Amino acid sequence: MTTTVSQSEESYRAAEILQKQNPDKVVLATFPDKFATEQETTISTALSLASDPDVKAIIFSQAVQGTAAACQKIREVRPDILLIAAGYQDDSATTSANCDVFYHANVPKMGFQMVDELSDMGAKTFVHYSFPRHLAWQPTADRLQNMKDRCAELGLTLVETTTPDPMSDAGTSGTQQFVLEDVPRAVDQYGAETAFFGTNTAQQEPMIKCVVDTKSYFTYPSDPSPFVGFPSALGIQVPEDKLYDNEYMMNAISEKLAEADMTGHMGTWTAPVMTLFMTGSYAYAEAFCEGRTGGEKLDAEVFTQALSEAAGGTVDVENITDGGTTYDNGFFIMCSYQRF
Amino acid sequence: MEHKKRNKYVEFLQDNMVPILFTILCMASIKISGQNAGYVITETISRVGRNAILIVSLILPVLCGMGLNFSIVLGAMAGEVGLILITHWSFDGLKGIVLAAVIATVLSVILGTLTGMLFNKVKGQEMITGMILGFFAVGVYDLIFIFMVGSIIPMVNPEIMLNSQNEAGETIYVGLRNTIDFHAETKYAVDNAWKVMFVKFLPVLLGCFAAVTAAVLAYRIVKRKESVKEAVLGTKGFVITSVLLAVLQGMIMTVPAVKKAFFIVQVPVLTGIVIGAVCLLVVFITKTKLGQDIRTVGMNMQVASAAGIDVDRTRIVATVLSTVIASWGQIIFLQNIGNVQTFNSHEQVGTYAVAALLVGGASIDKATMGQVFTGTVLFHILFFMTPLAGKVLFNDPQLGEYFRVFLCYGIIAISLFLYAWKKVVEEKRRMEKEYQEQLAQLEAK
Repeated sequence: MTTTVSQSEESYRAAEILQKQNPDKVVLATFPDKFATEQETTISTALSLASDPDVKAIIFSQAVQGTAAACQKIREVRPDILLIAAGYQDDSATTSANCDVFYHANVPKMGFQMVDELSDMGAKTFVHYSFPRHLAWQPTADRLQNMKDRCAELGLTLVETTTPDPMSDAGTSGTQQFVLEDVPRAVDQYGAETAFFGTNTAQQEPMIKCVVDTKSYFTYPSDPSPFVGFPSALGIQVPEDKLYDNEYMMNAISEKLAEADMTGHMGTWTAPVMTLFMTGSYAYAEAFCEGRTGGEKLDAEVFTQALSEAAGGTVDVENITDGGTTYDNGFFIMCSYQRF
Repeated sequence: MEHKKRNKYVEFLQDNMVPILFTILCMASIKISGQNAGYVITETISRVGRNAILIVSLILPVLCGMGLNFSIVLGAMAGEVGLILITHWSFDGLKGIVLAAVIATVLSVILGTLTGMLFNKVKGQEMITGMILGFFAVGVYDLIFIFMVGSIIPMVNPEIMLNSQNEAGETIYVGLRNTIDFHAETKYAVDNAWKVMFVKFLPVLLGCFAAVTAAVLAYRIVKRKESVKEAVLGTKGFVITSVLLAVLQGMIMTVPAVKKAFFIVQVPVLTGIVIGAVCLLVVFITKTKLGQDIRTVGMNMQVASAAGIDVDRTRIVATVLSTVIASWGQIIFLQNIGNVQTFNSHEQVGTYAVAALLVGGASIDKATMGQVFTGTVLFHILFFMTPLAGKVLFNDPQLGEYFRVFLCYGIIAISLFLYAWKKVVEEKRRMEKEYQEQLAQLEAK
């Protein structure tokens, strides 16, 4: 079960590829487009998947708000199904109680990684774009806290800016327009040694575009991947046979940035995280169905292995700690980073 | 004569165009999606259980001539506040839900009164005002629960609040988490209090309805000396429901496929009773002096005011009742979901409730209990069936989702259009009739 293209194209395409590769093993369904307010539809769709006796595992990627409620309902009728929430957005405690395995990119640690990188690149000011709905999610709030701490240590100035919420009445266009207007404004105010980060996927494309125009800095998208924001912002044309080719995309971005005299101003994770959520979860679900976890729904070792194989490199996995509680069935993952 | 009869059919079709259109679409979606009947029925029942009260809350303002009350969002928020508080105090189970309802009622009375006063200042534009008021209220709600809780309003609870560090490096709690999970005893407290298999429940329900119908009929015929036809027409809601239930019961007893489909279905009886009680309350209100006042105000404010009715007060009372019922509706809704999306659960409540009511065949100046339930069933079947049907039809899961959005809102637009069109046609007919009469009068002279 995945988000629609208008919410996160990468998740959907990854699921589509997975289905093409394993047509007899994968069924695909989508969250409602307005998942934040249409929880009921999420529940109905998930239940319709669970009502098929052949379904042994359900992967929610990304597991947007409403997933925990849906999992709870599934468990009532089909306690045998393996429930994986990748890139979860419900509260950690709620998700942990209702899903078998849940994980996300190591959001809090990203705060440290980003500021370290930026300081190394030469940025002096760091602008953080977000809005209350995102900041009400503990890991995002923790990441901001980590950024503040590390910025203070390294002598950077952190500027918190609130954008319109894309799920509110302003919509996606509202938040994108805000970013388009605010980045040049911030560069005027703080100078070109300013770096930008936004917590929402839809903000990435206008941000990258403006960062290139103003010769400022950008670490990586909120869902770190070469496929988020970069292709459209930089106008990269991808030939048919290279559609989901990671390496091709990394090189293309490097070239485009070099053309714009922006080398050393941007970076990203080498493994696209949304795709990894899908392929990694699938690898783990397959291991579970084939009995490689010994019938257990939670096997941290098999999980790490499955993710690393899917990413094609080591993935750093650690248990989630949120608000002082550590969750055995929750994991934060971290992939390798590359600067363009 | 022939012509008149045909006209009657056309009129019936015109009056019920929207529900008929939706029934056809629902049938088609179910057929195309190939889902089993058990799933469809279970989902439908849980959806009706969740949403019915929210939709019932719209009736009184419609009768009062204030159109569709989009501001029930405020009531929904009051319900959420109640639930959040009982989770904070760990006051769980059914008694917790009751306490939440009490808190919500108090809040809704205040919010409803303010809304009603605002509506009195903008007579004729209640719908758009209500919608904008909803947006505004979401902003205030967010401000309170993201910023003020923990900083201005003293409250510490790591379970439902976000932790961060202040300048001195101490851990402080400010703002609520984006999902708040209810405690195990509160989850489904109303739903699970008393669950019965549908096949066992139906005869009881049928018996109740038949008994009430018979009693009302007997009262009308014997006491009020109405003719049989008059009495049946006067209680047609009860009669039709009883007959439909009897038909269903008959089918379950005779057709094995129907029996199989219904066999796994369970009914949350307590939720049903709550819904029934709220419906009866609304029906009861419409029969009292207050109800008559509400209707009179709805028909014509000048006339009502001339008849000595306090128009402004009546409108405020209708808004307050609507808000209070909506807050109960949201509590029933959320206890069934099991957690609350702190900042999003209430946002679209108004839109969906209004859409469902419209689908049932109601309009901005007419709404009945029958339309509430027809609408809830049809709108929600379409809501969860069309994505599945679209998936089969286009062989692409996300087209299914867009297909649903397109279909649902497209048809709401059509229903509003048909309503406007009907008004124009009626007006034209009336003018023609008047013209004919005038002509006849002239000729007579």
